Amino acid sequence: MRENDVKVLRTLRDLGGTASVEEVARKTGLVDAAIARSSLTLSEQGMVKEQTTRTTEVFCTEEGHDYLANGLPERRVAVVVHDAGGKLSVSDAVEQAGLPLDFVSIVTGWIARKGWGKIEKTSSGNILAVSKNPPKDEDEEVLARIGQVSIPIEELPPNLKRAVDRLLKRNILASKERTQRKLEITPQGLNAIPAQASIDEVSSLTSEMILSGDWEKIRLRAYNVSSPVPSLNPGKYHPYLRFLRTVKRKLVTLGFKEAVGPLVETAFINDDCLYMPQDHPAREIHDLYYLKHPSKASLEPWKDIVEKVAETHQNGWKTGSAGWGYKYSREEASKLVLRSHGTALSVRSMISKGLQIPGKYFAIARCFRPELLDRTHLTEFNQAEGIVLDPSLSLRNLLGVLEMFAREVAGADKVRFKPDYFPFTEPSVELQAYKEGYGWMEFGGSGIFRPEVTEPLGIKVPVIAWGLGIDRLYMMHRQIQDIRQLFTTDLEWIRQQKVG
Amino acid sequence: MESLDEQNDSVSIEVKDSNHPDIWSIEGIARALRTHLGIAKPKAPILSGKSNLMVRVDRRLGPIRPFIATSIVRNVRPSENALKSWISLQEKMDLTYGRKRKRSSIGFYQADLIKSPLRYTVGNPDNTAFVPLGSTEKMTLRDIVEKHPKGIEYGGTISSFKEWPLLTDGEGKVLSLPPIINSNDLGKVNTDTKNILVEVTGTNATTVGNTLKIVVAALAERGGKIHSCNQTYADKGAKPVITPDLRSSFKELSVSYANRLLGSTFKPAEMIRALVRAGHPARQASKDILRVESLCYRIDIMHQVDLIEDLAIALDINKLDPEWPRIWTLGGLAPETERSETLAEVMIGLGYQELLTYSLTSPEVFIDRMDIEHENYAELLNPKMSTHTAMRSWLLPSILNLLKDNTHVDYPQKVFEIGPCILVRENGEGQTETRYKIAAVTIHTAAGFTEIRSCLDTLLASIGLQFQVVPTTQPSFLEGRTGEVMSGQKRIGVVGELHPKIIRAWGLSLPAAAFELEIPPTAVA
Repeated sequence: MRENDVKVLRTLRDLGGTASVEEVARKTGLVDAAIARSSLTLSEQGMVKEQTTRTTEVFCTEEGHDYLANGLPERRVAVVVHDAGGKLSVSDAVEQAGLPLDFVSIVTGWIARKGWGKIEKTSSGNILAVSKNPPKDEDEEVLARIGQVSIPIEELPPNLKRAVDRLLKRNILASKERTQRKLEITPQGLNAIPAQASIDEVSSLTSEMILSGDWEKIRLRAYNVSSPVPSLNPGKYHPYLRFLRTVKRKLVTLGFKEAVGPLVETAFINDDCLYMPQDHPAREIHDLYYLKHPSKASLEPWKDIVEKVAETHQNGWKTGSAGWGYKYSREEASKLVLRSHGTALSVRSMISKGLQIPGKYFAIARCFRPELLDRTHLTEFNQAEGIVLDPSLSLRNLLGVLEMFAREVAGADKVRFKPDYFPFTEPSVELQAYKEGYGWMEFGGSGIFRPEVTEPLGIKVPVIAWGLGIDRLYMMHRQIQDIRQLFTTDLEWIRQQKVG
Repeated sequence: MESLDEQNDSVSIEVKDSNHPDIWSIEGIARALRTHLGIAKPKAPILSGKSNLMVRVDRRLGPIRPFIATSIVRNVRPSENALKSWISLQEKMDLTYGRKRKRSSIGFYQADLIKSPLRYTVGNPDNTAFVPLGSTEKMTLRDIVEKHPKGIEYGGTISSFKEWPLLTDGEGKVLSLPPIINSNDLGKVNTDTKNILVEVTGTNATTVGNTLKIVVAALAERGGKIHSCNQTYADKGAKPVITPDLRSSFKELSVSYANRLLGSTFKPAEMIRALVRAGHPARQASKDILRVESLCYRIDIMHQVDLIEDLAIALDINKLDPEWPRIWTLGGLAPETERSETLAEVMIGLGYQELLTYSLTSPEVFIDRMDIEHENYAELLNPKMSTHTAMRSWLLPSILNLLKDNTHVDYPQKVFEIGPCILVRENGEGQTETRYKIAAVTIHTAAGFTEIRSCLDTLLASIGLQFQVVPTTQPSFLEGRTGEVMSGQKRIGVVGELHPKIIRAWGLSLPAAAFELEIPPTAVA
């Protein structure tokens, strides 16, 4: 039984078995709605009977309130006359009682009818005679009883009911109809009241009880531990960022150091250093975001390598390559773009002063491409990228790195490799991973950086470069069909995502 | 291979290499397959003879489209399928290798209708007219560029010049308006055409020459005989250029270098066999050196490594044993990441949900709706969507942009984000800085300054940063309830109650308080 139901039953018992909803509310401190809910439950279970009674309630009118405070007119006039020695002209009496003269006939009528005095008609006018102060009458008793509240007419004894009728007619009282609901406890209800085990059954344990030892004397009310409770919204990692953290942790355990870099890059870093010719289709405005403001940046920070990169594009420089055979433009190189691939961060790693060989570097890079948003495209997305540098590296090591990623990061069961093409790697390899239930999936691109990439940057050892489709991996992991979900604004969804 | 359709006796093949135009045709793929399967040995295409065709090049083309290369392929009489294949090769090369015809474009003509010498010259857009391919009406060059579908598509390559490229023959008949369209009279090739003139024009001499080689080599695969032509440039001292140049190039390949890069132990003879299958005739020049021939159309071979990849593919990379690199390196997160992680941990402990929002947004979001003034931000030249036109300079607007979509979701909402913002340095050198920031918002019926200040204090105390909050005004926040967060003399952020007009501007209806900080360096050792 619910706590409120018990309260209602106990209150009804204490009030003698029957009580109005208002009385129950006063006694229990519960709101009407709560009582209504309890009584519904209890009457369904046969523990309480509901009775609805219609009553007429009476209350004072404005005039009534005046008389309540100052006395009925006939009383006020009678008192004046009595105090004046028992006789006074009617008009003088009314005036001295502070009443208007049109009250004369009303007042004389009531004094006569109530037998409080007599009217003596003389040549100088009507004289009112009151020999003694009249006792309080029924009209006055009713008025006092009602006072500021409303009372049901049915509760009054018959004589007072008659007085009420009179006062209603005199417009001193008014009445209104009212429906009253009463609750009556049944024998079944009485039996259902849980025994009051001890003097103090309490709902909450207090510090005082713990310290004083009172906890031994009281009994804590048992809760319904199975019932639902309000839900909470804890602070949590964003589900996609949580996944990226997991990937980062795995790469760190594999000995990779994280690289970070700017989102706005020069075309020099984003493309030229990767031996992508300046008229390469991937550098067109359809595939690369250029900046309007600011539109260009100085190449001064890279002055040591600009010349070598330019020469390599034009004629291969000292790399042993034929080069692209076009006129390299520094103007084009200085244009600012939004980083379009994580490989730009691998360039950053290779030109950083702290570069170590042997070395392994990775980055989870936010990248940008001019795409319209749809189920499979984002304009802002993430790529996992990295490089491994060592004199001993070979294509077999590249395959080894890819295989490790497929198993460790993607949880793949089998891997296979396909030739691939990127302007900046040769050989280039596509990783395909097989996962039970998903089949073969394209999973990442990789290769060994071309000497045209590494040598102008001053690197003389083979550099393995790899990139993983991290957004797609997450979608597979979470069974997400729409890539826009990664940047969802749906807080409810974010809150509901499982951790781990 | 993508799919095999045995019923129709056809296969679909995915060609990924954007540097390998010699296999962008049925002829090229068949040739590569023949050598790969060992059906035939790779063989350089043969120049059958000289044609009598001369091409005179006008120097006024210099800034417009200076280069041309031509060849006549005789004895072709193509089948419908052959024609289809060549047209598709032409389109693919114009699009990709020719950079949408800007760098190079190809034209085919009926050689027998053309009188030498050709003149590659310029024409006045309004005074020159001819009947474009597939049409019956004469049109001026300008009309072609402005009205003809091909003109509309490719006119941009020439329209900024006063005079446009024009190819005419010895009798002054128009062959084409390069790189837009051929004439209907001379530039229509069909199954009856015995001798074809192939012409390539463009802005890059190497590209133009390479394109011609690849096309004539494909035509020769069907039995055509390649004949050369002579280009004379008007520049002083310029020698005539004979095209196509079908000579192979030769590269030395070090056996030990190749083995090192592949992680293999192939013998020279094995490598030679694999190279031949990849289409590169090779012989051993010394103990470690192979002399490798790259046929004229193999324009993808720039460096030894290109040969090594072909070698690996011919030998099947899946036969190489994957091996995790046996090097020892110390892994670790970037200091920036470590710092962000510490902050995220405390914010989550304070009950705040982490968010991820786009850093590419619009000034409407991060300036106008925040009621601030701000001019120096990174703006895109070529935005794709009106909602993604500039890089945000602060995070708070992105968070409000998310909260506005969640007015039906249970409050209180307490959220934070750590993310990149782009600051443009004021020094005029166009340098930008990617700065990571942290911002937090609390929004509910009783959200207020004290609550958010408590979070801020807890956060900064957790990383041991000394700071002060001094009164400030910022239009996004309520005056008198906004503070600047100072670390020493440096302003590192702002904290306050959001201004009701901002709350309304985002369609929100509850009190909200927020802070935003540049990620401070960790003060705890």
